[in-house]
Amino acid sequence: MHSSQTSRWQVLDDRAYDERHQWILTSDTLYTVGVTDYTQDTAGEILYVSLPGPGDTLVAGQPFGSIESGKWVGQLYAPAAGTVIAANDRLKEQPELLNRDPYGAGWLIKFVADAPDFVRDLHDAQTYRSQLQQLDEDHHG
Amino acid sequence: MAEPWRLLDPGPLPAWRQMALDAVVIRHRSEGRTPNTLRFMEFQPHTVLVGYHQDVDREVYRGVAERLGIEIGRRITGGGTIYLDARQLGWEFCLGRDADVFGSEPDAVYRRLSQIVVETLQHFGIQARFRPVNDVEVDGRKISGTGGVQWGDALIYQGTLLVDFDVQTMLEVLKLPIEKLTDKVVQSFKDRVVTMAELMGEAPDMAQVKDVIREKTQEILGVSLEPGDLTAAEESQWHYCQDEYRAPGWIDLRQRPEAAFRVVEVSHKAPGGLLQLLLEIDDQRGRIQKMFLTGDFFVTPTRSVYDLEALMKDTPARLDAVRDRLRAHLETGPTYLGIEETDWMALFTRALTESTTHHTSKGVMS
Repeated sequence: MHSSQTSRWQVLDDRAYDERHQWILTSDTLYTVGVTDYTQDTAGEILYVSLPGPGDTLVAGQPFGSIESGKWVGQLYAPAAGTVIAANDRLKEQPELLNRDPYGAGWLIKFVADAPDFVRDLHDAQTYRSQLQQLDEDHHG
Repeated sequence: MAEPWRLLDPGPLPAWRQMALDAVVIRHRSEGRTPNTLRFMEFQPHTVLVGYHQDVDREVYRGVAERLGIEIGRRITGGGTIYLDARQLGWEFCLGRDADVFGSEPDAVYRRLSQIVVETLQHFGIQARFRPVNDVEVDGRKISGTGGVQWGDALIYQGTLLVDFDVQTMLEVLKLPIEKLTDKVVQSFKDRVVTMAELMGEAPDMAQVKDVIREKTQEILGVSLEPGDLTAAEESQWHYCQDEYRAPGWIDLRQRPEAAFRVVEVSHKAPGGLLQLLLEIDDQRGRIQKMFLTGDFFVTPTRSVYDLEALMKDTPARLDAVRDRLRAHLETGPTYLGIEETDWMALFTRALTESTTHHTSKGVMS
């Protein structure tokens, strides 16, 4: 799998990215969602993860779960309207997987979308990488 | 011209109405329908608030709370459980993500906004400082704890300032890793927190504290705080949604198996004296949840014990992780007379391999 690290944060080429620093991996009609390396890095040590259960409904753009680090609660956002097929239960006991392997074992949910056209609004890896580079430059003046 | 921000001071309210207001204001701020806001929060009746991801039954004696007329609530922000009565002042910033007063990294936000608390205390002659992750302390004793939440394009950063504090009631209602509420234990917890009243000889006037926070916010952030009201839309949504924040579905939103937690109590006799350690371990997450260190040993400065306890909170319950944090602590230069790293590790080894477990029978503060 090709990946690149032109900024401080790793970005994988095999998936798409949304405005909330989440990745979406498409496999036929099933979409897997996770947070990016940027999110886990800037959040710090993640201590709690709260996820929906299979069958729960996702509302596009609305929170479907949350993470907590350093007394700070951040939301996880549905990239599209749809239905949750699976949630990563391992994260309940091992929230540190989000820090250790955000693109792999730290995946959040798998869902089916009401309509697949939301994918058109996502960014490809190259575009997301440019955004991160810009953020990196902003942070370091 | 300084950017105008709104100042809300709705006066004492029940916690569930305050929590509902948090949710309403952050949603409106995220949608750009309301300005950046500083809100003062006073709580009546007194209340226990768990953090967003916490389980009430792990943190609070419900029966004691009911007997004492203490309400139980859940915050939308992270962090630990707190006990609040009319003698603490809550403060809260609700800001758009585009507010140019901070960077995008949480640590930067904490530090910048905590500086307002530090300088407010300084105004009253109290030398305080920021302690990571996000407390403000005076000589190692906590005087202000904080938590935050991000929602869409807005965030809330809130905290409490201990103007005065009833440690005894807190110890009765909160579950802490202590076995018996002896005078020594009460004193030990009193040593870990400090109030403006204790440091000043008497509690300052609450209105004056608010005035200074307002003034320091304007100075430090370069904004202009104008007293204001909720918008009609906020008012209406607040009215509509507030009951949700006292319903069981919200209060008990998180429930975790009792078996996931255990408390271990161990001691170690070092050449310099006796170390007694209580650890609450969350086995489900594999983390040290709370640590309480007492015993008979000499340490300088005294605050080192409280710093070590704060550092160990949420540490993975593994010897290598504990050793890393212990070393980081020892590198800050405390002197534990006659206690070496090997003594500490003997103590923690015993605690982490302890098979005898007992659940808390009495307790308090996070």
